[in-house]
Amino acid sequence: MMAKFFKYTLVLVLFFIIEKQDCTAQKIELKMLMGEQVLYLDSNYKLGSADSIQITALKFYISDVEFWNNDSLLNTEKKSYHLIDITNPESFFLQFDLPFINAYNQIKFKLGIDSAAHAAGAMSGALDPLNGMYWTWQSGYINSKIEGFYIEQGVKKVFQFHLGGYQNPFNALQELTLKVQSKAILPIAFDLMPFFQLIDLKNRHHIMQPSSEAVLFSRNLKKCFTLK
Amino acid sequence: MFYPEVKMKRLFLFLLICSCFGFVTQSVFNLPIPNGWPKPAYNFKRNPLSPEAVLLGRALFYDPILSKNNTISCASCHSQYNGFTHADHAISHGIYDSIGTRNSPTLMNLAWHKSFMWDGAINHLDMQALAPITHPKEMGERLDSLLVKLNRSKLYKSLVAKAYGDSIVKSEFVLKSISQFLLTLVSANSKYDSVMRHEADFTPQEKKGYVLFKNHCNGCHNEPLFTNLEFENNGLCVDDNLRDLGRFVITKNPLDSFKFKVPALRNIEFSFPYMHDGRFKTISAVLLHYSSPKCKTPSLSNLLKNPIKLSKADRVDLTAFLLCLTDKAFLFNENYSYPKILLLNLPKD
Ligand code: HEC
Ligand code: HEC
Repeated sequence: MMAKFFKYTLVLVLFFIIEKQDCTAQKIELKMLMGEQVLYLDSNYKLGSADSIQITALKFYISDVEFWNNDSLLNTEKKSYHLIDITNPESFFLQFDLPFINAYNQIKFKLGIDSAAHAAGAMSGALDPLNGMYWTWQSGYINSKIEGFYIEQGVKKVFQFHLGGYQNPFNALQELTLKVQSKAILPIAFDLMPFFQLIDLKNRHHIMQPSSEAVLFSRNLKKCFTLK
Repeated sequence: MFYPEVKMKRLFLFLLICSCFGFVTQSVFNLPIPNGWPKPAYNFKRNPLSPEAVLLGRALFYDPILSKNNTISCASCHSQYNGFTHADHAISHGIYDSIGTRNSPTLMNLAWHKSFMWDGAINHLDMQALAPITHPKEMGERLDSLLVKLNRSKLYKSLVAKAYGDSIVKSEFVLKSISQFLLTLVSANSKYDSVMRHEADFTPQEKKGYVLFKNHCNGCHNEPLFTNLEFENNGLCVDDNLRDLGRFVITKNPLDSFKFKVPALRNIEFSFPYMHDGRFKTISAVLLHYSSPKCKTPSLSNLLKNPIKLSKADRVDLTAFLLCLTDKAFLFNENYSYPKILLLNLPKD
């Protein structure tokens, strides 16, 4: 009788602990934007005066997120990879296995996959090659994939940017630091407009392998993360 | 905020894993490392060998289910009796009889390799299989469609359950088990190995050949793997049709043009034709290449700037030594051949 009672209380206590942790888990919510508008798949967005673009695919990795208070690291989730995919709104909510600490004023993270994971072999989850973010003919993850149409005076042209590369001199991994206000669900905007304003789509519409341009484009992509 | 599902899922998973330990009987084993060999490059901690996973990988290696129209298996281009290269084909051909651009290399002692393909395009053995599976001219399949096919197959569901205690065939299992089978392909029982173990003796001719080999070839094809696993230019003139730039394709460094991964010479007797494009049919043609003037490009190895002086007699001796690298125990090892399990379980759907 006593033993049974203990078992039940144990289960209850466990439940309580699990709930308690969940109440305070840290999350990040990404707001996907194109300039002032919300970014949707296959919608038209004005680019400049006459031309417009449509996004048909947008996927990228965020990894190694760190929460800082000035110079001290409060919390970090090492070796964890988040794949954000415009077709999967759930992926805009980055879930962390970390409690919310109401004291950080800065976050740091990587846009892409670190070189160790690039060469670690087969994995499941976010790093499963099934996600279409792996180059099969030349090993390496695609850090970010942006595809769509560029419409110039009614004529539709395809653009495809598969940005990646982990070996020097074409290491495309980017590190970011954002000053923020700590929140359990931290809102961050991902606005693609600055990326497109920096490139000349007419002349550069395909990047499909590691190169110095892939590095440059990846650097441009950093500018999309803001606190709008 | 309250998201108990996440934690509960994890708890459930944990319990599931615990319960799996109860009835999955994987017997992990270590790859036997031949005496005096270096440490393998492969990280076995992330993929510990088990007989069940090796069998799964072996079945996949021999099964044309990996190709789009179920006609081509890995073994179509890598057959055991010639050291797992493509029998008598200069350039491998795959699905719908398409012709590729390179000669298929031998597959052996891959646990020691740090990169794969003639240009090192693949950085990890686990990821190697993805290249032929998805190549339009090789197996022409998509990874997602392949997983649908495998998840419909009773055979593969049961092999995966035995190897990984999971009811779903996942890409990680497919890739890691193919690696496991490839890792077991160790060739270390040639006459050369017996001599090194003091269990046999070279003939006087083989001995002369061994000396010549150590003088002229060991700089790149060094023992015991008979490759330094680096990329070198051995002075072949570029084929105008293929214009294969080799390692440059990956590094984009002009000094890497025309460099190729140094191939291992074990079982060379049976792995003809030779070189990345299979241009030489015989060992004597290869030796003639090494004793002739080379195509001089900036990346040509210093070791080969001048033709190697090899008389006709030297070439005969060197050939005698190269034949000592034939490993019959490897070429006819039943553990590496077509697994009976594939015969028993047809049809697969
Ligand atoms: C159509 C023929 C073909 C098929 C089918 C094929 N391969 Fe290959 N394989 C090749 C060729 C050709 C190369 C060299 C390609 C290159 O260097 O670009 C190669 C290279 C390799 C290598 C690298 C060896 C080294 O030393 O670098 C491995 C490992 C390998 N294949 C394993 C496999 C596996 C596993 C499968 C089945 C999933 C497979 N191959 C299917 C033709 C094929
Ligand atoms: C500078 C490094 C170097 C030296 C020295 C060298 N080789 Fe090679 N060898 C290579 C490379 C690189 C290849 C592959 C070249 C290619 O396919 O483009 C190769 C290919 C071969 C092949 C074909 C193997 C196959 O599976 O296709 C044979 C056989 C061979 N070498 C034998 C020898 C012999 C015998 C010697 C000494 C007389 C020698 N090599 C010296 C670098 C070297």
